[in-house]
Amino acid sequence: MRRTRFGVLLVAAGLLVGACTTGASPTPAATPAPTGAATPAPTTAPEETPKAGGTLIVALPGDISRTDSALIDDSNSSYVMNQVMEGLVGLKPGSASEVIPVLSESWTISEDALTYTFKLRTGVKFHDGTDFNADAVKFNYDRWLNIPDAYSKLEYTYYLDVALRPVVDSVTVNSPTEVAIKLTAPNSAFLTTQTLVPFFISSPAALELGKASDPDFANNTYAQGGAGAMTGTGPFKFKEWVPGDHVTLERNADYWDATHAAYLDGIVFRVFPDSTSTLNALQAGEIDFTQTLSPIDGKTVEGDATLQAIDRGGSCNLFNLSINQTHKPFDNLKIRQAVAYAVNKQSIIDTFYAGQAVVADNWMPPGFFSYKALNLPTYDPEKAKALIAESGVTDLSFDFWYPSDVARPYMPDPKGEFEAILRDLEAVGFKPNPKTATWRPDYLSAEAGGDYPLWLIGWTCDWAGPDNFLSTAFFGYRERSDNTFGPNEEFGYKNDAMWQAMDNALKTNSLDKAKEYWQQAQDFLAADMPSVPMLSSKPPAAAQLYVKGFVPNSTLTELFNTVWLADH
Amino acid sequence: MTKYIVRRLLGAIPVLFGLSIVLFAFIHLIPGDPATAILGQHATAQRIAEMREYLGLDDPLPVQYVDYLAGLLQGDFGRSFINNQPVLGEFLRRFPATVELTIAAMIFAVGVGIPLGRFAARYAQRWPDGAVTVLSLLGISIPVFVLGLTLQYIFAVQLKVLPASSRIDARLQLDLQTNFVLIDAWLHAGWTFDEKVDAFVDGVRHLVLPAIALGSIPLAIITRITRASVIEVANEDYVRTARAKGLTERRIDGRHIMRNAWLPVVTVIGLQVGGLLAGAVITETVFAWNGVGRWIVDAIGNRDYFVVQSTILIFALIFLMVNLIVDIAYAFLNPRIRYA
Amino acid sequence: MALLSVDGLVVRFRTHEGTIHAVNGVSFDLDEGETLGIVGESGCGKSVTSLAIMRLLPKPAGRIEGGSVRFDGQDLLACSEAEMREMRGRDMAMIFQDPMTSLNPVLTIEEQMVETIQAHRKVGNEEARARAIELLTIVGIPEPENRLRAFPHQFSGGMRQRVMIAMALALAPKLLIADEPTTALDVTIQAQVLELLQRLTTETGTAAILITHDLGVVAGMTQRINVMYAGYIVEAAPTAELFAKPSHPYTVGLLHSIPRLDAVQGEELIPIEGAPPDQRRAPVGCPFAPRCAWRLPDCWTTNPPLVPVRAAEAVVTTGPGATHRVACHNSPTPGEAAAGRPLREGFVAAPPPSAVADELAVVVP
Repeated sequence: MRRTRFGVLLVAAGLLVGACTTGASPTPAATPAPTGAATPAPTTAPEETPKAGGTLIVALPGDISRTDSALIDDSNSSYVMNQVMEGLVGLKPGSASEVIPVLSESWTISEDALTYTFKLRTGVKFHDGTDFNADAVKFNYDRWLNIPDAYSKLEYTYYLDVALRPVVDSVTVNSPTEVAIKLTAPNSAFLTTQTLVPFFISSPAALELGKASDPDFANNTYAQGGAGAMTGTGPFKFKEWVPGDHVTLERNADYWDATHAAYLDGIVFRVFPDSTSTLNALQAGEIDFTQTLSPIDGKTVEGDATLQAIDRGGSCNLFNLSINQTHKPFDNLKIRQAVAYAVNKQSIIDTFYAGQAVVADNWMPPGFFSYKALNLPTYDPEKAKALIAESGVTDLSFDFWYPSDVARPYMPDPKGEFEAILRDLEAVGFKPNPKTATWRPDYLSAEAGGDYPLWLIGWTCDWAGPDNFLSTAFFGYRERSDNTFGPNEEFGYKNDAMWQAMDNALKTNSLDKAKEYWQQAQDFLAADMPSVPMLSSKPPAAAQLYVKGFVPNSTLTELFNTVWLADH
Repeated sequence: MTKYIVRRLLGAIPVLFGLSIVLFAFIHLIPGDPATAILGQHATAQRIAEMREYLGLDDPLPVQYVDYLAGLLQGDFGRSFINNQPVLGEFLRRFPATVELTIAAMIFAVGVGIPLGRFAARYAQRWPDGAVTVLSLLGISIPVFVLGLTLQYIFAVQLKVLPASSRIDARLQLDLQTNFVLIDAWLHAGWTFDEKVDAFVDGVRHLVLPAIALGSIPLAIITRITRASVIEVANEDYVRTARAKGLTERRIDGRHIMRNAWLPVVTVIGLQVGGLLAGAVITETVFAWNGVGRWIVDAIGNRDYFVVQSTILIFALIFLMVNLIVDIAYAFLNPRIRYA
Repeated sequence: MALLSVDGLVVRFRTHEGTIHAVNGVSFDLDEGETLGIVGESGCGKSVTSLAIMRLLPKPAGRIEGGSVRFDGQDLLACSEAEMREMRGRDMAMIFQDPMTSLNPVLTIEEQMVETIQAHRKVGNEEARARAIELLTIVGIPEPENRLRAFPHQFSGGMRQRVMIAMALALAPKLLIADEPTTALDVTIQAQVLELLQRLTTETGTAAILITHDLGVVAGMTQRINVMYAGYIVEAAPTAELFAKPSHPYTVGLLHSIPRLDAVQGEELIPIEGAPPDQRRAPVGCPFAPRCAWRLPDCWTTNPPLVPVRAAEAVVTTGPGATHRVACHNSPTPGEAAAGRPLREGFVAAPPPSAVADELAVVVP
């Protein structure tokens, strides 16, 4: 992962404006819109009447990378484009996993799970005034499938490469209001991936105007803020991008869903690279809203009555105390379980995350599709000692690794966290041997090759699906270095039944079935304890008190059409 | 004089040439494969091979260097990975913000540092001198990062007298044309004169805190040098002569002492420009200032090698040019030096 | 009434190494138009005396701690800094030793001359410039209009000293103090500059104090001479009298340590042995005693006062008839003075008393 992928944060939280909800409930607190509506009504207390007008100044931790939604893979671009662009499907506001129709009205999945047929919404126009229809959808999918090679070489096509080109076979226009998308293989994660910004529909006319497929990227104005740039169907229109500084959006007065048209006249997304400086700007009243703060600054906002702290309840990442069970003594299940009982996850959250993280009870963050509480071991040193005794293992020494020169959203202080875990392990009788290496390339290549017995690493999601964590990040079978297909060498965890369950989950055309299979896989993991999931960090957001109607989402899929500014 | 300038310019060429080799070697010898660095944790071997080819990393290092140098000589500083645009154009687009900030910081450092140094020299070895010494040590020792955040907290959050960050109030929606905010304020179409004045004043107000943060180290150094220089010059025979002639202390100070005391200060100011460019990297991050400094930070984070390599080279070029200008200014201030 | 009257002047410097006793009660008078030489080794207090008169002692170390200075009817030590500033350059001017460093290197000659004139006269730039050209002409600088625009480094040492003289005389002061004005110059240039100084002071009737370590320089230039040693005047006399009848062993030593035009061919120069006393100590006894060949036991303990050579003579302090005075317990006879050493049979310089010897051992290693 070159940059932080979209999903920095995850899990449904019902917080809304005005209600200083903490302690996220797993389902949105209030979603009054009837199912099937493209966007739900803002969750505003009934006595408050939304007010139109005003410009919202939003702080982003980094700049957008391009103005073509298909060619991005970073959370900043995605955050802005979610206001301007729309896909066939989207995430229900406030939910990390519930897929709802947006530019489609409904869809059907063929029996063989290979063809997804979408019935499209009518009367929708792009910001340039051209019509949205089945031809436009096909135009976009065909462009993605045939994106210029040069763009791939420039590393602009991450999502097209991982979630579209290997997945989609062809797109057929059945009628102006119906398209059929044929997959190369059954893939129950398909709909989830289509809620990602790179698969949102651009105006074909604007793409052509902006030379969006010119082999020389330098001529492509569509992606660089010039002619045609960022032309979608969303509640806001792109106005201006000053690279490194700000992106300006303005209200789309002709939004197709009049009941959910934006209240704001416009939004300015400004780049604020430093968290504390962002907090200062917020406290000084220069910005209205910040997408992200460091945990410690989030704590400050919680104590400031003049601001509202926004808790997204979780995030789309996982910090993992990783085990490779081809190394002794971790071939022994009781030893792996003993490690799980030995570490005090909550203490690490309090010490290194200012409390802004949730203890992991699964190998994916809570709120995901098919997530179940696994009741994994919690801190119990006595139990750990007992398990070690039962195991009969006497040589309790092994190498334990951490990266020396890096900080990740899920792992802000590798050395400090390493030392805390080291103490926990020693306390129950393990004899870990501290080791460190530089992140790139030594650490990453060694751990990926299965050289480390125990080490620290984590995962920031590509999308909020169980497949992206359980299979892609961790335990899915794959091509190995010896060209055989089998367990991920990184972890050396072999359980064919577990892999079969994952494979079945991806191949079914039934969401219910998929859920069942994913939960089977989760049960195998809980029983085998192939690694110790530690926590999901949850970078907080913050806003002025007068910012109303905001619906947080742990996937950072947050739409500002419901946001309005109270008198202040 | 023209001959001297030409000679200095020619002299800068081997310096830049040598620097380009050092930079190139430095960037290519740091551990890690750039292709792996760019592609990350889970890239396939094939993708890494493609990226290496794209970056030209499979050629021998000398060949890569010659390619890079050949590009440089044609004014091609390479392209950014992020948008495939020429580095030079991107640099020039962001440079005005850095220039504005650097000049403001220099005005602050010189405008405060010289009077403060003179003040300390006047009370040398007495308590006001000690107080100035303590202040300048603080200026040197407080990290710019900490100073910037502290200034924001005091003047923007608590006192609310100055803006905390960025170049201008986002709500004004100023059109950036030259990318100098203080110029663009006057060029903005459709604004009344009063609105232009307001925007200009807003731009100046936004400059204050970052200029202080960035200028703190040069301020401390200029203060120390001015103090030392004034004390030294004040003991010169010609100052005693000036007193014996019955000149007023004001004239002795302003003309006989300062005209000479300036000389080392001017040299130091030139050298500080290098420090300012380095300090801009941090200041621009703390103050959400969209300049070249922050661009480099982003480029390093993104492993955007050509941007890093070429920007540092351009900085070096600017540094050499500024010092050439300083040396010329020195010649005008000091009649004993006449460059032939 | 003398133009300048210095009485009992005491100057000390407070330094990190202790108090320097630079001038220890110096008294002399100077009439209008008179030329006085002050002679002595470096560190004898001659320059400090002149800076004290100008009130230009380096601050804050140098302080006038006693005595009085009256100039032109005014008590200079009671004047305010502003009053002093008005007098400097206008009524009393000074020329310094090193013309290389005494002119400001970054200002043109014009700027430095014009500012001197304008500091005291309300005249326009043109008028001041015309006066500057006139002065440069007087001191013998060719092409003064062009040379005005030049910087000091574009002049030779002698020319620079001429510029200094022109600047000093710009406002026709009553008193000119020249502190080693020719020391830094070539011998041939020395004579020219001295001649110029003498001519101009005579023409304008300016009283002058010429400070030098070189008796040869003052011989033809001055009417009277004060010889200083370790912050004291040890001998004062009209110039001719001093050369004819040197009465202090130090003066005798000085005369024998310089080549003289009237000296017998092949006559040996006799250097003064030893070093001047450490002025960090308050003086006890005669300051010259440790180096003196004529010293008596008393010389170690009692510092002799400056008294007339011819006892009971009424003291006249100025003019050609000024009294010849000396501060010595055992003045050399004219014969001894000519020989440069005591001639009395069996005379041996008194050894230091033990207390003094110990102290000397500390101070003079």
